Amino acid sequence: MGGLWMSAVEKVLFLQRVDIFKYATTEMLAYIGAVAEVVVTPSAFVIFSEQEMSDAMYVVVRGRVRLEKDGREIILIGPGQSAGAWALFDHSPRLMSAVALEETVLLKIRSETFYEFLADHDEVTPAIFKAVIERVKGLTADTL
Amino acid sequence: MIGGAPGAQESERTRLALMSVYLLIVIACYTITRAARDSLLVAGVGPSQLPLLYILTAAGIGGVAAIYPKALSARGVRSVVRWTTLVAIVCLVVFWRAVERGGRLPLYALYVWVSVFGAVVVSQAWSLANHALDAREARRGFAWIGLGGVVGGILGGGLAGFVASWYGAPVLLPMSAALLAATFWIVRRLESVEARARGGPAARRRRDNPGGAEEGLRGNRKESSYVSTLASLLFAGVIVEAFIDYEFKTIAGQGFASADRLAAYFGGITSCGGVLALLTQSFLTQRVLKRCGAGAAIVLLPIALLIAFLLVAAQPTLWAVSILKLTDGCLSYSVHRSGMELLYLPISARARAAAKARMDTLVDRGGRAVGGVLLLALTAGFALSLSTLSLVASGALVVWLGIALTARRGYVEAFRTALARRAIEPEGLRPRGLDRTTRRALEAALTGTDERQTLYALSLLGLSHSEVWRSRLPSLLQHPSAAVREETVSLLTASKTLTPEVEPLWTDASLDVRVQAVRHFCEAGPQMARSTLRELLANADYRVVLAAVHYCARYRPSDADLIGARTIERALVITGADSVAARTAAAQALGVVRVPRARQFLNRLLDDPNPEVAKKAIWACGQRGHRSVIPRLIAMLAERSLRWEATEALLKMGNPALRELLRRFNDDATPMNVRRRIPKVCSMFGSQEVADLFIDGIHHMSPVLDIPLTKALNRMRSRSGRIRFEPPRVVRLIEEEARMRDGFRAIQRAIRRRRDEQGTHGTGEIADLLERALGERLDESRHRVLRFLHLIYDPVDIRTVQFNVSASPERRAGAVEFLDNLLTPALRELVVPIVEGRENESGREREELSCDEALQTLLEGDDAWLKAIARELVDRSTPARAASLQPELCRG
Repeated sequence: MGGLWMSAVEKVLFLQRVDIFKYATTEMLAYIGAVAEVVVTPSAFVIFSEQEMSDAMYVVVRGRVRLEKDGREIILIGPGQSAGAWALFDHSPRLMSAVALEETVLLKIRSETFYEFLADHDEVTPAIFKAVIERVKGLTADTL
Repeated sequence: MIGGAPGAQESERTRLALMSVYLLIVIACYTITRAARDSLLVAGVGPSQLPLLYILTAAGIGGVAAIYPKALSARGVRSVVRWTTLVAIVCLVVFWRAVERGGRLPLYALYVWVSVFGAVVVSQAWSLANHALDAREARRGFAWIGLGGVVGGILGGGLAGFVASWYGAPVLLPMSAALLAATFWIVRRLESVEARARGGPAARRRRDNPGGAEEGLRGNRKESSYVSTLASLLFAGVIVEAFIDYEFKTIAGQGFASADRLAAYFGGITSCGGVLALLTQSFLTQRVLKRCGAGAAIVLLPIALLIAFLLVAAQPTLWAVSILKLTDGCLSYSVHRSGMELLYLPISARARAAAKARMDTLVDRGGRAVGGVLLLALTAGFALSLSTLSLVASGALVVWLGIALTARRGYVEAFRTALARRAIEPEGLRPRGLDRTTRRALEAALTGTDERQTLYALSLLGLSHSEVWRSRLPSLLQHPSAAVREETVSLLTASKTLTPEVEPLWTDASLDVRVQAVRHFCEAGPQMARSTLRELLANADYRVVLAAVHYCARYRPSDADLIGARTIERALVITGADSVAARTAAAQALGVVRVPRARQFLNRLLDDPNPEVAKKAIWACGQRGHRSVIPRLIAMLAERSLRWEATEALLKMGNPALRELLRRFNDDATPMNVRRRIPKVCSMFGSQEVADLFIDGIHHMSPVLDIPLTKALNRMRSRSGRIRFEPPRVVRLIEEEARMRDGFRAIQRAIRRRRDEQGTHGTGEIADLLERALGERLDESRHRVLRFLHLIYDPVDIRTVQFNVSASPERRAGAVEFLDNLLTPALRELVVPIVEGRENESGREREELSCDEALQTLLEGDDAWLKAIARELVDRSTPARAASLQPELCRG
């Protein structure tokens, strides 16, 4: 995977669509963008594999990514959509694999870097908590 | 008319109008039915029965008042309104038919019903208004709603007079029913309007479900069932109490001819009962609880009362009933009450408060009412003698005993569950000591394999002074959990019981256990502490030496001076698995004892790659007051892992550290990630000089520093009562903030106007982002304004406002209303529009900017993030425009 330069504003335009950052302010997103790496993957590149320990989340900037389980396509994601957002908090085996369907540009946020970032920007933590709690509530409501 | 109400917002006008019409209709209905009721009663029965009807009406309203709040809480106001209306319509039709058939009974019933109806619907209308409007809207609109009610009264009276003269009074009843039916439409319309205004069904659900707070209680079915058992226990007790009181007063009344002698007798029995209760509480209660447990304490009273009642049944005499009364007075306020209090212990704190409140109100009053009715039925209805009445009471006591035994089983079970959930607060046990049941449950937990339960049981048992359980401790020294071993040794040390079985733990795998083992031999047998410590510090096994050094560093015994430079040197050269622990111990020890070359050792340890070692070295510097390291400590504020320790050490060093902190803060060469941290540290010194300096710094340094400075000032305000903030300086800050807000709003409007007029030309996303970022700056500014208020108003009040302003639109309205009442007129005019977000009404707007001017303002400003977005927007616009705005941007 190679690198590519993106401005802080461009990164924010993509990060603001990620569910888990929905309550973060644009400036917080700019800080998060600063710890996000821009990676370019060739076509058919396996971004992460099922059962592999999760260590990062990805946001698609350009191209398409196929999320699959046991070789079966679960969903196709495109620009502005993210994969593995929970990996930021959960070091557990991945439930799906992600494969680039074409040359793809991604924003990658490593969970370790993200934790470091949160420790230095405590003002971001409540916004992340709020989104996580909302998601958990949603899941609970769906289950009940 | 309402549409033009001063201050009424567009979104609330429809709701106000609907509510006014609603109140108008219900008041009109009430006026009409009242006219029908009074005329029918006076004509058909005459006024002689009115006093009885007043009493019945009072009872009816009392009954409804007991049920109505519950129904509101359980079903929500709209649902209750619908049901009440439906029931009222049906009742009106039924009364109409019944009145036309003739007879007195329907007239009595109609009289009481109309009074209850009037009380309910009027209160209900205001509940609905409170529900439909938030605090601010209510302030603006309640006068208009009230006016609807006045008009309803006039219209209803006129209509009643007119219709009755033509068609007769009974017709007024179906007419009211028809009018009332119209309110269904109003409530439905109100609901849809409100849902749109408040943000959809989710908000509606929240507002319609005020009983949500009790969900947790209902959710735990086991706990809920246990609470029900306790309620039954109390209920049975209150009923029996009514029997005791009745029999006592009846027999006493028969026994004494004069009122004076009766009063003397009552007084004597009361004082004797009080003395007996005091003696029982002093000498019996604790023994019963310790030896027999709460379960026995709660059966003692019913058993004693059963015997006393049987005695009264056999001989209904004055002395027998005196014994009954004394037994009750003596036990119910001593052993029984203590036992009952214990029964609440396993209930979670939140559920306990709710359960107690319910017991005090519903169960207690309900029990008394049921007792009264029972007595009325048995004495007036069945004319039972006092002997027979005592036998009935004995039967009730048997039921009480049965419930008490169930509660006893439930208590043990609930306690077990609470123990597993760690839901018992130690404070709950402390004042009472441990009863037998509790102690047994805890001792059983000690023998279990669950580390968490064992530790929890140890911590609770540690609070009691019982010797019994201590005999079990040595067996826990071999527990597989290091935490349990550590806690066990710690408890043995605290009880000053020198235990030889602890010695093998000097070489335990866990350092914490080893430290406790060393401490045990130094503190449980004080006469040989120094020699023991010297021996341990010189031990051939370095694990023991390490434990001894850690012990000295952690507990600072007077013999810590046994640690010398050689011990430190030895620690610093240790390699292998113990090397980090050795350096940590050395750093810690340097903070406790004076050792030659300490500064040299500490400088070396501050550079340690292991953060734990560095932390201890920082701590030691603070303890020893090594001022030479202050610049290094300030630089460490940027390092997350060392920040807290560096702060503590700087605080320990006092004024020299504060002076250096302020110098660095004002120095632009200091890295921003260090400068941002300095205000917080300085705020902890609690100095007036710092407060004045910071308040002058806001808006005059980098904008990045405004929030840290404001937070630091808030912290100083909350923590130090000595610091004074001059209101004029704070008002100046708020005025500056208002000017900044005007600037942001002007820029926001310029960008929005440009987009609306000329489209986005492919820069829509960036323009949206800029607009959003400007909105966030306005939010941040609003929070800063509240933080400034925090400096001159009660911090608790302002924190409440801050929380509610961020929580939800409904809560924000309440918070603004509160502020409106709290602030001085001048501040109110400045702050309330900011918090409400309606500054455009205040006339402080700047002149309108063009979009280019707005972008230029941002590009020339010092807000790095807004500048970055503006630059991106310019870059993506046409090259000519970009060149006109920022020539340098086009050169590359």
